[in-house]
Amino acid sequence: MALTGFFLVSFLIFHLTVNLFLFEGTGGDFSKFGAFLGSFPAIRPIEWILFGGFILHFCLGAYVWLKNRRARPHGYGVKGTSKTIKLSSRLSIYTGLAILAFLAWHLLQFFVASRFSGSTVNMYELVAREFSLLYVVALYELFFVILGFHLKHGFQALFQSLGLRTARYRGFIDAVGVVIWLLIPAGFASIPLVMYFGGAR
Amino acid sequence: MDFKLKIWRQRDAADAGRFENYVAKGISPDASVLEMLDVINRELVAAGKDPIAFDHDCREGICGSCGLVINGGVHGPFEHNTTCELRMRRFHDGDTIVLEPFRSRAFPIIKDLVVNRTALDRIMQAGGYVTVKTGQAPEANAIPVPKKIADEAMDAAQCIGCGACVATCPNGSAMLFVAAKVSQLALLPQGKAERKERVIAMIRQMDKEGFGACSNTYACEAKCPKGISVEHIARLNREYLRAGFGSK
Repeated sequence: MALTGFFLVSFLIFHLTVNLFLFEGTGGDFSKFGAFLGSFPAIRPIEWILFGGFILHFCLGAYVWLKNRRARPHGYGVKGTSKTIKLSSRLSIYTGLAILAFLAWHLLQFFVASRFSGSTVNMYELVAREFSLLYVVALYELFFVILGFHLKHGFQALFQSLGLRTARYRGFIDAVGVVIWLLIPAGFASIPLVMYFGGAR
Repeated sequence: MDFKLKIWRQRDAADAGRFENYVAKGISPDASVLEMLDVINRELVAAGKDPIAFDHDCREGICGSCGLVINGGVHGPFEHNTTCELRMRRFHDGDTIVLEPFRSRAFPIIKDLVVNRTALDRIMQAGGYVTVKTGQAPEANAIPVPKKIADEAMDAAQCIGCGACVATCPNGSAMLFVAAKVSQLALLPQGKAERKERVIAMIRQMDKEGFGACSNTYACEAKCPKGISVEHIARLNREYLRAGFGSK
């Protein structure tokens, strides 16, 4: 979980970096980069590795969740034992499932629409068209809150699983964690808002 | 003080079990939860009824025998105490108190509030031995141990093996227990020689016993009566990775 999680976080950073070029407006580097990725020869294997990362992360998460359910067949009469747990940790399986559902929609919306359309698609225009719809913007904003929540648990947990979250580094990991779980989703969330309210240029 | 009690009663492992209601009257505020059960049991025995079975031994928070889930909290709703150290003055007169056994697939119920925690002993047994010279006690400075290492090992050694970490973990995981035992021995020079074999064997036994997997929720640290840090779980993970990838 930790290794696939780390891989997916690094992908998120890359994805956000590319997305920030949307602020350049139409004719900017976003569409150029989209066209470059479309014609880049190594993009197919990279795509499969990325899909593999998501699938493996999901499968491992589902396995751990099922194994852990079996570990306590009879629950408590008074449900109070989880009071000391952070909400993000308690809900990580559910936020993960929500992300998976969102991902399917997100891929249909942009990946399938551009990759299997048959003709060359201007990525900026495709994004601008989607983010001119209020319900799309609202759903994306909701998703980024969920994503932030998932990362809040996941980022610190990956260092714990790898045995790196020691007293010495805990403060540093938690500080970097804030950048990861707060700033990355906030960066993503700013894009639909700006494009909807600021109008696509 | 008077209390209304809901206590889990279960004749044996095969019985389905149920909550039964009791009333405790005139309990001293200085009595522990276990002493309140003693008072109720005396009345039950006098009335010719089956007393409530519960685990206990030292009653001073160092043996790890007692363990109840009280109002949804393992060892009670407060932090860093054992069930035997929880005094009735911390509750309000007339409160309803719910007493349940620890719940885990690896801790089958024997009777009422008594669970079988020998799974933890088997993990210890799987850990094997520590190489020490027999004979007279060695000279104290023969094996120097830095203060910081000694302190960390002592922190881990505080684990009394009560199983609160398992009972409170949403995953029923025994990672904090195993982490404390592995840390204690891996930190000290006397335990270093067998550290790789030990961590692999103990993790393997932990999985075999049917404990859940750690998902880093840190519920265990919050409820451990000895306040053992999840930092030891990080060390356990490190020891395990090192044993898997490092040279023998």
